[in-house]
Amino acid sequence: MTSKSLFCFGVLLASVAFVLSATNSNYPTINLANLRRVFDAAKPYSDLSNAFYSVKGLTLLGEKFQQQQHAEICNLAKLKLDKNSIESVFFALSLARSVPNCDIPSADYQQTLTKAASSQNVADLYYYTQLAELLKTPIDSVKVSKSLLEGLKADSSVLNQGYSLHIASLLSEGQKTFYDNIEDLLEQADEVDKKFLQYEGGVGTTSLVLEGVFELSAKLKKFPAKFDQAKLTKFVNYLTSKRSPTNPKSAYFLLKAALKLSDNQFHIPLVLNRLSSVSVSSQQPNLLISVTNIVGASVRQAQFNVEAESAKSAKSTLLSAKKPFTQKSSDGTTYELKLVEQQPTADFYTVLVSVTPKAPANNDKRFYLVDNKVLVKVSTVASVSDVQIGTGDRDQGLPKLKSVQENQKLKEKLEADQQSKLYVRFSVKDKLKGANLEVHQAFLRFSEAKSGREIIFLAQFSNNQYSADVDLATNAKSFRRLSGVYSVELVVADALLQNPISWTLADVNLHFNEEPSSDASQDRAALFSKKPEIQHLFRPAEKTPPAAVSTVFTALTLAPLALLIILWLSIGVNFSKFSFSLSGIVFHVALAGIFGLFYCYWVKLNMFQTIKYLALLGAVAFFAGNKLLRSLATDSKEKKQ
Amino acid sequence: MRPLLLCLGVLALVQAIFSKGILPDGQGKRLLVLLDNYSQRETHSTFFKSLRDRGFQVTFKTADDSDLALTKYNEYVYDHLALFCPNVAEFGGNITTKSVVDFIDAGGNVLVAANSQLAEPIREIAGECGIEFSDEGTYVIDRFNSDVNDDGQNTLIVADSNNLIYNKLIVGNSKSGAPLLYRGIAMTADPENPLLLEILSGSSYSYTYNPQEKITEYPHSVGKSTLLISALQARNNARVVFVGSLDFFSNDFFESSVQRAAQDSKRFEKSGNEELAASLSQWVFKEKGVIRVSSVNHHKVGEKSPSGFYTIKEDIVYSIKIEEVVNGKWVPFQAKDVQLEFVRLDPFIRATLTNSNGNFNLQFKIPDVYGIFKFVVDYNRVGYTHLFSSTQVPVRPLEHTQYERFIPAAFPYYASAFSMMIAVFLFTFIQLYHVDEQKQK
Repeated sequence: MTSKSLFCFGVLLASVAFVLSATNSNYPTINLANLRRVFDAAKPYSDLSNAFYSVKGLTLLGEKFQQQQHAEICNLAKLKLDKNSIESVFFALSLARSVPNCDIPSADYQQTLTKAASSQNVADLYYYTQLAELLKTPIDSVKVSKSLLEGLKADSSVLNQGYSLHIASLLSEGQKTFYDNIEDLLEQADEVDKKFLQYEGGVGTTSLVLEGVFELSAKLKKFPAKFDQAKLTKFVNYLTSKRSPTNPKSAYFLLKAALKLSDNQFHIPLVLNRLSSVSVSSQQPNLLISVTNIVGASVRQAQFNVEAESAKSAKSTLLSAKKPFTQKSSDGTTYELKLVEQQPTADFYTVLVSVTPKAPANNDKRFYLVDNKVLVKVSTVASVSDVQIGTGDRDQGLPKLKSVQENQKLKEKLEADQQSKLYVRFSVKDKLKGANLEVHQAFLRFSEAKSGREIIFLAQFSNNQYSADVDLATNAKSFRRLSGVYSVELVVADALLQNPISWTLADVNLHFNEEPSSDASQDRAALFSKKPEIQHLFRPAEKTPPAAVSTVFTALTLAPLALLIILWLSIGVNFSKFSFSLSGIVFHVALAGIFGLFYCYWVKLNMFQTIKYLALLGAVAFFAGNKLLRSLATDSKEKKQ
Repeated sequence: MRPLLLCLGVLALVQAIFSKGILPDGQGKRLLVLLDNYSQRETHSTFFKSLRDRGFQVTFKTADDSDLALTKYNEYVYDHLALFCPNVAEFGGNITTKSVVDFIDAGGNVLVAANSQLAEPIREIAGECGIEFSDEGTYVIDRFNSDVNDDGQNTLIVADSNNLIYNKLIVGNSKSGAPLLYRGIAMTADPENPLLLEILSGSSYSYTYNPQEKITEYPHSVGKSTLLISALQARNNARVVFVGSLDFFSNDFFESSVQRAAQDSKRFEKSGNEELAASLSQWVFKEKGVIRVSSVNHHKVGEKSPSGFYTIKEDIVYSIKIEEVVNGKWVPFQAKDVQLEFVRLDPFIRATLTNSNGNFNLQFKIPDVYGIFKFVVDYNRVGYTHLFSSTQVPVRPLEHTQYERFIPAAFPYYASAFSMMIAVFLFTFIQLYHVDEQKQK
C-alpha cells in the first residue's frame, strides 16, 4: 500500500472512529483518538526517534503539517543527525523525505549505509533495509540474510525476530528460513486469561511481530498454516482491549498493525459490537449492532449480509429461525434487528451473528468475526402487590396484618418493643405476564433518620409469596437497642427487572428497654477529634480572720513586753555592774546579731546559710559571754574581799 | 564458632546503624508494582504514568516472578508497594504474606487493588490489616445505581462521590466531583479497629453476592456497610489502602463517561476515577498528610532559654514548631486545633495552642501540684500522620523562702516571737548589770 492511499484511508478511519467511539465507551476497537494523543504528546520534538514516530503516526492519521512545522522538522532532522548511527540516519532521512524541500546530502550517510549492510545487529539491519527501501537502492539479499541469521544467533529476542520478518519481507530471496521461524515465534507468545496472546515487550512488540507476519506472508503469498484464526483472534483481542501505548514508537507500530489488519489479503478480522442497550423488551425490541474493522471504521472491501443465527438462553429461545439484520447506515457499519416480537421469558440471551460478504465479493474468505456473540437481556417490569405489614407479640403466632395501598405509606405508626415481631408479606408479579416472580434482591430496610443508621433483612420466598419476620428480641443487637422511629422500606430488584422498586411501607416506633450498646464509630470519632479543654483549678487561699482581729491580738501579744519594761522602770532598774569592756560590747552585739540573723532567716535565708552564720555568731557570743561573765565574777569577788 | 558469631553480631550492628531502609515521611520514592501480568501496564498506563510524573521510581514485576524481594542485604529496597495482582495464588521469590506485613510494620506503604477473583495471599494481607473481603466470585451489586454500560448484571456501578469520606487530604476534591465507576469485590472493616477508615461505601441499595447465584444466605455486606475503598493508617504511620476494584484504576474507567441506567439521569463526560486515584495514591504514598515536629521550646515568661525545672504556679511559655509536606517540601503547618497537654499521669491542663505560621505557642501557669510532668502534644487527625511529642520537666514545690512572708493574719505570731527576742536581749542587761538597791544598802 502506498503511503498516499494509507493516508486517505486514515482520514476515513479517523472520522468514523470518532463518531462510533462516542456512542459507547466499551467499544472493543483500537481507539485512534488515543493514539493521536500519544503522538501529539511528543511535541515539541526534541529527538529524532520520537519525532519520526510521531510525524509518521500523525501522517497516517491524516494530519497535515503547516509550513512552519515542515521547517522545524527539517531543521531537527539536520541538526540531530548522527552520521555514524544507521538508526539516526534512517529517522533523519525519513523525516526529511516526509517534508518538501528538505535535502540531506548523501555524502553524509553513504558510508554508514554501506557499513550497516554488513552489520550483524538485527536492529541495524532493519533500519538499513527500511532505508534502502526508502531510497530505492538495491539490497544484497544473500548478504543481508546471512548477516541476519548471524545476528539472530547472537540475540534471538522476540523484538529481533519481529525485525527479521520485516527485513525478510524486503529481501528478494532467502526469506523461507525466516518465514519458517514464524511458527516458533508463535509458540513464544504469552497467553493471558485464555483470551489474549501477547509478547513480552508489550503492545509495540506484539504489533511489530503481527505486521511482520503479514508483510512476509504477503511477499510469499501464503499465510502460515499454524497461524489460525483462533490465534489471530487472541492477538486482536489483545490489541483492542483498551491498550494505551505509552510512547510514540509503540503507538506507531500499533497503528501500522491495525491498518494492516484492516486491509490485507489473508485475514480481515471484523468486530461486532452492540450499540443499543443490553436490555431488550417489548418497548425496546430492537437490537442495534455495528460491524467494523478493528479500528472501528466501515469495511471498504465488501458489503455484508448480517444475520442472526440464533438467540438462546439456557431455558428458552428468542428467535425460532435465522433472521437477517437490516442495514441501518449507508456506510455499512450499523445493523438493526427486531429481536422481540412478543414478550418472551425474561432472561439473558446470546445472539449468534454471522457475517457473509455480498456479491461480488461473496467468495472472499478473508472476513471473519472476532466474536460472533452478542449478549442481550430481556427484561420485564415487576410490581409488588398484596403488601401486608403488622406487629405482634413474638410468642403468639401471626397477628392480623394491615394491607398497604400501592405506593403509599401506612398512615398509622406501628408500635413495637423488644417482645414484638414485625411481619411483612408481599408478592412480586411480572406486570406484563402476571406470573409470580422470584427476584435476586428482596430486602427489608429499616432506617433511622437521625443517626442515618440502617439495618437490612432478607425476605424469604416460599409458595410464590415473600415473607419477612423480624424478631426484635433476637435482632436487638443489630439495632444497637436504639429506640426511635424507624421507617421500613421494601427493596425489590433483579437483573432482569427494568424497574428496581423501593417502597417505604410504614414507620415503626421501636422501644428497647435496655441501654443502647456503645457505638465503636463514636469512640473512633473521639480518637481523631479535638479533646475537651482542661483548666487547672488552683487551691483557693485559706480563709484568714479580718485584719482588725489580728491587730488586736498583735497588740495583746506585745503587751507583756510593754508591761515588763513599765514594771522594770517602776522598780527602778540600774546597770551598776556595768563597766566598759570589749568583751561586753562584743557579747551584746553578737546576741543582737543572732536575733537579727533569725529575722533574716525568716525573710530570705535558708537553713544552711543560717546555720553557717549562726555557728560564727554563736562562737563569738560564747567566747565573749564567757569572758564577760568571768570579769563580772572577779569584780564581785574583789568587792566582797 | 564463637568469634564467627561475634563477628556476625558486629556486622549486624553496623548494618543496623548504617541501614537506609524505608525513608519515612514521604521522602522515599521507590515503588514496586506487582502485577498479575505485564499487560496491566498498558491497561492501567495512565495511572502508572501519573505516578512516574510525580517522581516515583516505579519498578514493575509480575507477582509470581521468582526474583521478587523487598529487601536486599536485610534492607528494604522499596518505600512503597502497589499490589495490583489480585489473582496471584502465591507470591514469587522472597515475598510472602508475612514479608508484606513486615514491610508495613517497618513503615512501608501499600496500595492494594482487588477484584472479584481475589486469591488467598491478598486476602491474608487484608485480614492482617482488619479488612475482610467477601467471597471469591462475588461482586458489589447495585441495581439502583448501575451504569448504562453495564453488561446486564448490575455489577458496573456508579458510586456516588457523596459516599466518600469527608476528608480533603485523602480524597482531594473528589467529594464534589463526578461519580465513580466501580466493578469489583466488597469488603468490611473490623468495627473494633479505630485505625481503619471507610473511604468509599456503597449506597443503601447495594449488596454483595455472586450475581449468578440465588441469595440463600445473608450477604457478606449490604447497604452502607458495603465498603468499596478502605484504608488503614497503622500506629507507625504506615498507610495501606484497599480498593476492591482493579478496573477502578484502568485507563478505560478513567476515560469512561458515567451515567446511571435509570432514565433521564445525568451524564458525566468523565468519571471521577482519575481524580480520586490521584488523591488516594498521593495520600497512601505519603505525599500528603505528613506532619512532623521540627523543634520544641519552653521557658519562663520573660526568659529565653529553658530552665531545668519549674516551680509550681510559675508562668511559662511552651512553643512547638510543626511542619507539613506540601508538594514535596516542608512548610509550616496551618492547623488551628493543635492541643497541648501538661501531664502527670493524667493531664492537668489541656489547651489549644495558638498558631502563628507553624509556630504553636501557649502561655500558662503551672498547676499548684509538684512532680514529674510532661508537655505532650498528641495530634491525631484523620488523614494526617500521628504526631506525638513529649518533653519531660520536673515541677518543684515552693522553696522555704518563696512562701509569703507578711501574712496579716499571722501578725500576732510574728509579734510574739520578736517581742520575746527583744525581751531576752533586754533581760541580759538586767541580769548581768542590775544591782539590787536594798542589798547595796
